[in-house]
Amino acid sequence: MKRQAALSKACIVGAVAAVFGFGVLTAQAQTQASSGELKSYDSNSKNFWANPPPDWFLGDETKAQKGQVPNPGQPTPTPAAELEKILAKIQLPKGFKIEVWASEVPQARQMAMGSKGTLFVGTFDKGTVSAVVDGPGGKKVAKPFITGLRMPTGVAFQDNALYVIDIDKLYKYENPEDNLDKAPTPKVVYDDMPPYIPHGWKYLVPDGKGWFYIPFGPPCNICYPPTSLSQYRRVNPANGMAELVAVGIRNSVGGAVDPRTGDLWFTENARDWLGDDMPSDKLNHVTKLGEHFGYPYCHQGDILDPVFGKGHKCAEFTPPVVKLGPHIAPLGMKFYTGNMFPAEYKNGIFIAEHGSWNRNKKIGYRIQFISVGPDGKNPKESTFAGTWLEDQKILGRPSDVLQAPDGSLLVADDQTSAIYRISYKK
Amino acid sequence: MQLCKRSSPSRSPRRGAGSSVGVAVALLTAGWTVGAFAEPPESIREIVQTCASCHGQDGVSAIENTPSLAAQPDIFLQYQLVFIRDGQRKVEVMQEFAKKLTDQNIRELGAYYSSLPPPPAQATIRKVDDKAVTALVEPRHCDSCHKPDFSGQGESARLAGQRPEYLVKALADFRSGARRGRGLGIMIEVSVSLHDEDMHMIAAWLARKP
Repeated sequence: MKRQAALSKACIVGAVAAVFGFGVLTAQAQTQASSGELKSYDSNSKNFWANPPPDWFLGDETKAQKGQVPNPGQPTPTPAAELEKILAKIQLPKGFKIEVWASEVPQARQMAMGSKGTLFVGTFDKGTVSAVVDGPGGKKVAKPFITGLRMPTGVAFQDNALYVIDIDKLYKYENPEDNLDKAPTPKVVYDDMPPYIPHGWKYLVPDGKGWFYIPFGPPCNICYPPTSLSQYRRVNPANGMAELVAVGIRNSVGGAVDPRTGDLWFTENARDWLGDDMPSDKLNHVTKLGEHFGYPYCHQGDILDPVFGKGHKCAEFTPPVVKLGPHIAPLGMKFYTGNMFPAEYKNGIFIAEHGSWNRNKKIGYRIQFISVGPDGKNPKESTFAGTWLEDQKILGRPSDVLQAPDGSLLVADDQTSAIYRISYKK
Repeated sequence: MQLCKRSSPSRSPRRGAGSSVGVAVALLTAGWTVGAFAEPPESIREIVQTCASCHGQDGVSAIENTPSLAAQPDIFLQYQLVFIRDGQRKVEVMQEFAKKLTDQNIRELGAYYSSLPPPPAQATIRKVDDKAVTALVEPRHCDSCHKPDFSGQGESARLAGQRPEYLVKALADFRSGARRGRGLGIMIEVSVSLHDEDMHMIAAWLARKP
């Protein structure tokens, strides 16, 4: 009933606008018109948790941005020969080289390296986790290690166990590298999470002390989020205990702990449908428990939401350390601690930009490098590898980065279903 | 206000004057294809013969509950074959067949069927109230992904000229969760609040589109 009421209200606003012939509406006014008043969801019903809210995805679409839809990706892996041609077009700083490390790794998302050198790779909706191992002739081969999950985007390896997060379950697979032929039966170590799809896919950030930081996105583009969402939690897989770390967060699918301080840093995908250049996606730094990062009231640290911002000031919230750009979709990130790259890369951050869909001209589709002080001061951003765009054609979509044991950087690409390796030689 | 009210065509006293013309045109062209169509490449010729036994020689289906494939977007076709091969989408008659397809087969099948001329507008017995359907389709932003002419794009199917009973089946499968589409769950959002009657109306309206 609530949903129907909301729908007809939006219709009334739309109809009134039509009657009075508001021919020229700004993007902001359009957003207000289409979303009516503050949006909230009745999360008491089972139906809410089983299905996405009726307007979670396209409910805020504006006339100016109509027809913009998420990138469809590629249903099958890009053949190896084609990958070589793509990588020949990728620009890198002097001395760096990019090559195909493994092809046919379906929908490659977050990566985790086992202690014996197996690379575990999550997927988006394929529902599998791949194990990439040495095949004949030293060629890397990906095998489906775990199958039948929903959206196992996030993986982590610690204490000889593989952890996989699949929307509402955190699974633990003991001793996976000695059982690559058949994945051991997992143990569910944490499941106090909502089961819906929208922004339900997650990333695992080991905190270095045995716990995981886990992001919880809201089930909408912009809304007052239901309880237990729009936040980062810290979860102890040993006993299922959890604590709230930060709130006011839209969709985060990447984060890492600063090796210098132990602080959590995370990337955040800002809201859609406010125009091609607004608002910027973010790199955030958590400095105290319970910090509020602004969603849904304030975006990019300095603009109020046209609907939710009323009665608020951006000064109430923690601003980002870096505004990464509109719609560029920052996903996986890591601090670099290796010895292969030149000294200026030490303790800097690599971010995989999945690339834009909610803007007319595509941007992103690259690996960014951020050097920044441990306190968040003096951030400097530069493009490290890219772009996976040729004119407006998408050549690939970086989804995660991982430092390999030798200090090279592995890059997951979920459009080409490949893992690349970036190395450095003087 | 009237625009947004849900009304069933049986209760609606008026019908667009253009729709009877549309039916006549549709009746004339339904089930026929015009001109020759491209030959599939040698590597998938045998596979296409198998497909054709249900989906039609020219990718236009004459069999109930079996979709037309002609002019479907390349990426959409590939995804469906991958989903069926992986068992993510359950289509019993396709299961064994799809298991044998290689990635290369799937890419070639996508390219081939997307290159065929689209099916003609379908004749439907059901009368369509344009206004009532628009009131269902507009707030769901169907045209944003499926395009204003419903010819589809990327991972989103061509809906224009599809068999109407198949469109009803597809919507019902999304609503029940039997079919998920791709990861974002958009089709669940779109279909979950549709009644059976809505689905029949939308399907007839889409099927009649050239």
